[in-house]
Amino acid sequence: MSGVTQGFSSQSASAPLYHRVYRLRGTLERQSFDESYVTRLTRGDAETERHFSRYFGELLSIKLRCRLRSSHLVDDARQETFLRVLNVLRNKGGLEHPERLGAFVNAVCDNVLSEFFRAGSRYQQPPENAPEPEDESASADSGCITGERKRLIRQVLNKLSETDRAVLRKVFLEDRDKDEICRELGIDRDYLRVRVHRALARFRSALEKDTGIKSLASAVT
Amino acid sequence: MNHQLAEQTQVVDKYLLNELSEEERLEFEAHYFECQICADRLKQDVIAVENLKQVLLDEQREASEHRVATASGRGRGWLSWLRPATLVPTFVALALALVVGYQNFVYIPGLTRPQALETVPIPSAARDSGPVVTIDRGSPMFNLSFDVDSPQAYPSYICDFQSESKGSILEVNSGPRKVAAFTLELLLPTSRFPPGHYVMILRPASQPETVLDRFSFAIQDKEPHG
Repeated sequence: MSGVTQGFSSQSASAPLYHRVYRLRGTLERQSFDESYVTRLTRGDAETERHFSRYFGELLSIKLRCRLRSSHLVDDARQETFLRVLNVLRNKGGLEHPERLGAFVNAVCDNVLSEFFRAGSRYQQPPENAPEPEDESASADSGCITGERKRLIRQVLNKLSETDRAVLRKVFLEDRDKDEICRELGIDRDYLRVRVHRALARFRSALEKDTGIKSLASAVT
Repeated sequence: MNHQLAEQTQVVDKYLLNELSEEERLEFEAHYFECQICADRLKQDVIAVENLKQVLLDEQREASEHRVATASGRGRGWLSWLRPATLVPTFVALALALVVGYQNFVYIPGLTRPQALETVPIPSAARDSGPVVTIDRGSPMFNLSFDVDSPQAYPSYICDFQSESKGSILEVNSGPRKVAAFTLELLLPTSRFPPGHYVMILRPASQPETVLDRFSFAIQDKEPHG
């Protein structure tokens, strides 16, 4: 257990999410969460623990980032979730419904979040002399994205219309109010979502080609 | 929520755009923790968005750096000084500095420096053009001395200087006088007396139409090294 938590925490806690996710992509073998998987995890199989921490670590980060304002809190909540899940597995010797491992991890995470909120972590006002919360928009840690990746993203960006580029910039970079963006660009919310959806599909496709790995979603559809 | 519904409702996009209610968000989270397809799609979109943010941020930085470089490059050439916005204030400042400098270093020291004034006596009722007064153009003032012998005493007198060519050029009041005969010393501005012939007509200040006396003289410039 400690191996899993330590192994997971050895990732750069302060690195932006995309870095952590991107670094893991391509090396994460897909596994089905069945009785065999849960049994291996319960017994402390190193490979399974590694897969578990990587796969759910990414999902937990995505979920937690929507609710917690600092990456420090996100890391704490993620670690706490892992700790509790593995404790339960080892104390009870597995799960009654091993195929629902994902739901179990999510439920544990919800409990951890509730406790965080009850403890007032989220709503506590930082002291006046506290450092500014980490900027979790595009990070200044530009070294995390390779030049090749940037070129790829630029290629896709250049193929988009000016309106689509403006939409992406305003939504993701400037983090502007969506209704305001729609008013400015003379489009409605559904159309805005469609533009983002299409743009992201293009990026996804380009990134798949770049990493050479076809996503499960596109492989199915 | 099942995968089909998630696909149909584009819930991944809505999740990324923060368009779900808290209930919908919890429902989708419960789903993607169990659905590897949606989890995979969500992870890829998160990577795409974060990479995109990075590139857009870089573009923004590059654009602002370019703007700064362009602005500073435009100001680098010396020809950029030749603009009215720069030239007009520059010339005004230079002219002001010139005037102030001349006043401080030439004119005022010249005025305050002690000097002996050469007095040229001008006799009255001269029959000819009178004495020739040589004046130094470098000196702002020159001195003339008039022997006044009025038929009667007046409280004050007007000295009306007339040029041969221009007529009356200057009037000077003698100030209060108690006697009829006296020597009137006048300090006159050099600039008002170009070379030429002049006459000073003396009148009582109380009766300006009455001519008491006339004093003729000529002005000539002092030779530069004379």
